Amino acid sequence: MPEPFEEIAGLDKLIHEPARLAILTALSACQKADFLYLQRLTGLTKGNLSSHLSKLEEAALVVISKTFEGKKPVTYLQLTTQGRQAIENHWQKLDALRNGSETWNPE
Amino acid sequence: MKENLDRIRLVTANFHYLKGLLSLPLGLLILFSAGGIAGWWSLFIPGKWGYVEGGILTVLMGLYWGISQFYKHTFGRVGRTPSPSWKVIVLLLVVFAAILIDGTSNIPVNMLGLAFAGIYFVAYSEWKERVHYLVFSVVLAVVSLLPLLPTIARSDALWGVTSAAFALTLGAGIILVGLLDHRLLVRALPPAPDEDPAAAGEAWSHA
Repeated sequence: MPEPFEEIAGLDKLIHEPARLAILTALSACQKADFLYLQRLTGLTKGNLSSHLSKLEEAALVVISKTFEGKKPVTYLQLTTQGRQAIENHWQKLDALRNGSETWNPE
Repeated sequence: MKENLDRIRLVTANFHYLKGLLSLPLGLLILFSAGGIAGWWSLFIPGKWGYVEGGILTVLMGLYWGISQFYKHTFGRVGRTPSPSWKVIVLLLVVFAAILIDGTSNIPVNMLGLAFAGIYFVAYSEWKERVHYLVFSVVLAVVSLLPLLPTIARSDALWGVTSAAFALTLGAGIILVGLLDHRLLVRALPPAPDEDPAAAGEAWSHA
């Protein structure tokens, strides 16, 4: 049975980065959210949020779509099926890790 | 970290309910009805009652539209995950049954009030940070059960006062709960560091 610190090494760093984990967690709780909502939720600057979202898009975890509402551009973010699966797996790993560390005996 | 992420999930899942200012028009409408039950408006607005009602409804609809625009441009947009249909069906059945019982039986309690008390209690149990839901649920239940008091049950005049009191409690409570929900939302979503809502969508073109 792997020890807790070995499982930490197995966590996906792309997802586990705090800002990206927050973004993916938020998107997993809804159908889609816009850029402004995610920016207020995470407290990131526009540039930082854009950078994180680009990485998630490159990994095919989120889909970015741009629309216009009236004359205003709105950017929506949505988890892909792969992204939803990835964040659910990540949460399961984190929960297992926490449970494992609580019962871990170094002897 | 786990707690922060759980909170992020709860805020996002409940975003639409946290837009509490949207319940102001409904609360005001119920307060207005409470005034009607108590007979206040006939003292101040004799005649042409239909115009007044129409005007108030128009103002409240305009208020709702304005508030929804405010939320959209200040806090952003979240597409909610469709609620499980059984939840919606159960909710509608409970409210419908309560209205039916109130209208057709002589049970000396306000079933609609008890139904709303139950709904707010369930909402509280799903996210216990919203203590105001619990308080409102208890207050509603107490007011709904007031007609059980022998002095009220025996007096037609007091029965009328109790109905007005229920409508006042419901209206004022909906407004107060809405304001507290809004406060929770403001705390959960503080202004973004370099936020210019009009330019938010354009950030991608520079990323």
